Amino acid sequence: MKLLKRIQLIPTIFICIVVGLIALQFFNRTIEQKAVTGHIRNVPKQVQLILERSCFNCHSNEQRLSFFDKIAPVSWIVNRDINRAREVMNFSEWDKLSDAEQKSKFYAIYNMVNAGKMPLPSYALTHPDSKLSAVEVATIKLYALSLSAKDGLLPARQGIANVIETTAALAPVSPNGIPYNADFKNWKVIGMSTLIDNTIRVIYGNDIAVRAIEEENFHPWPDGSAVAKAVFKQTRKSNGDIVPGDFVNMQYMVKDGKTFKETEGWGFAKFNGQDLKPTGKTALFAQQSCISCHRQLAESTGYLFNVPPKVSSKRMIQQYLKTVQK
Amino acid sequence: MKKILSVLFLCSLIFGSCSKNISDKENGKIRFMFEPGELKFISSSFNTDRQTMSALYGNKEALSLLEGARHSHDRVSLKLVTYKMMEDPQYFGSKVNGELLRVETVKAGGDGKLDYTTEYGEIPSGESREQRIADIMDTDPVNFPQ
Ligand code: HEC
Ligand code: HEC
Repeated sequence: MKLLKRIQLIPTIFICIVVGLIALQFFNRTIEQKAVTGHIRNVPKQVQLILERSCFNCHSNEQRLSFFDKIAPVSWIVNRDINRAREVMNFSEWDKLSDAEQKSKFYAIYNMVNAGKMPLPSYALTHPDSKLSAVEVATIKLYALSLSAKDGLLPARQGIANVIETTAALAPVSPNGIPYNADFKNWKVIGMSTLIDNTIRVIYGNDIAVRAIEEENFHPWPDGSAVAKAVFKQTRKSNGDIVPGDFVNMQYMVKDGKTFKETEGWGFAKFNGQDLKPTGKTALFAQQSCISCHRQLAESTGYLFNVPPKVSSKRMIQQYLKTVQK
Repeated sequence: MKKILSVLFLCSLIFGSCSKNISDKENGKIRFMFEPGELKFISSSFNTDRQTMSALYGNKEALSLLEGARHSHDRVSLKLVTYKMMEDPQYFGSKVNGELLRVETVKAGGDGKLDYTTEYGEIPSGESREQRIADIMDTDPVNFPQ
């Protein structure tokens, strides 16, 4: 008997909740629309992209809220946060701040993101896309430092180091936080490949990746392994050789088991054309457009295709290495 | 009868895999990555008629010579590493570098000329040293953005 009552109770409660939620919507108010008087500008593109993706939903007049954020009672919390956030800092009214204020705001911004306080943790939990990677936090830090370096506020030596670091950090960054790393030119070439009649590629590995191959230790690849693939158009030489022509893109795979759980521990990045434009709008791009081939077809080599095949004679290579060492 | 057969079958499986291992060891095939020492990668190439793929490495003197920024052969050092071209074992339609075929070196000699040697393997049949040097020196270094 009791059980029967309880069973009837569940649908009743459910209906009450639904009705209650619908009723709440009559008390729902959309966030006040305000004009964009001075959109933040003169910041490097990647800094801008980080702020727009992660902070603009609260600290601007340019919200892009999801449906979920707009229904009461969630909307009450969101609206309260937005109003409060705009009060303290508004990227759409950036011109209201003096140069000095803009600069000091960037230190506040760095400190907030470095401490994990911004974006608000409650918001980051329901909007995983807004979370910042360590590289993005570093990018903001270097930008803040570069603002002071220009003023000579920093000790001379530190200032120069920072400017160098900043230009490095201001290299293009993939939406998942992986920057274009020009250091691949100092890595070892681990392979070459070509899609006949299409492109010609060179694949480089950093020390960790090279050692992993030498030690046959890639199940899984150690964290810190990184591989870069340079893709070129094909050009035909008069002797019939096909050689690299115009640069097409640079692609990276960087192993970090914790950060890139959804893509078998590999972070993917791709930079296109002469201006190295990063592929992808959000950090999810690799899940959508990179991992599937690598996961399905290169599993036996830890999701990386270009592991040199076992085809060279050990005896002859050893002999050769002895002769060159002499 | 069935039992005996299946035991025999199992034995052959075990044996088969063992002997495969042994022959693997005897054949002794390994993964190979060329160690260029202080030389840097300059460019790559492949040739469908010969079914080969090559990588050219050189020191900075060699690089600026090939870029046309310098005309002296002084201190120039280059290595051309050539492999058999093979199907990518994991991706149809893609070709990769396979077995190492030869390593050729081009170095500045005492008389301002370039010397040619093969460190590994043999000079391609029917070609002279002069031809090989000319071929190797006719390389444009790859260009990256910036
Ligand atoms: C969910 C909304 C929300 C998001 C998203 C958000 N913030 Fe905030 N932010 C707030 C609120 C609310 C406050 C005020 C907190 C308080 O008063 O305790 C605030 C305060 C700040 C402050 C202090 C400003 C000052 O001068 O007092 C900074 C700096 C800041 N946020 C930076 C950021 C950055 C950078 C991002 C993006 C990486 C970000 N916030 C994303 C809601 C948000
Ligand atoms: C259609 C299947 C496919 C997709 C999708 C794909 N790859 Fe690959 N990738 C390959 C193949 C095949 C190779 C090996 C052949 C070569 O070197 O090009 C490869 C090689 C690579 C390499 C060199 C390391 C290795 O695994 O050999 C990198 C780096 C790489 N891909 C990055 C990416 C990135 C970044 C994306 C998404 C933007 C991506 N890939 C999407 C098929 C794919």
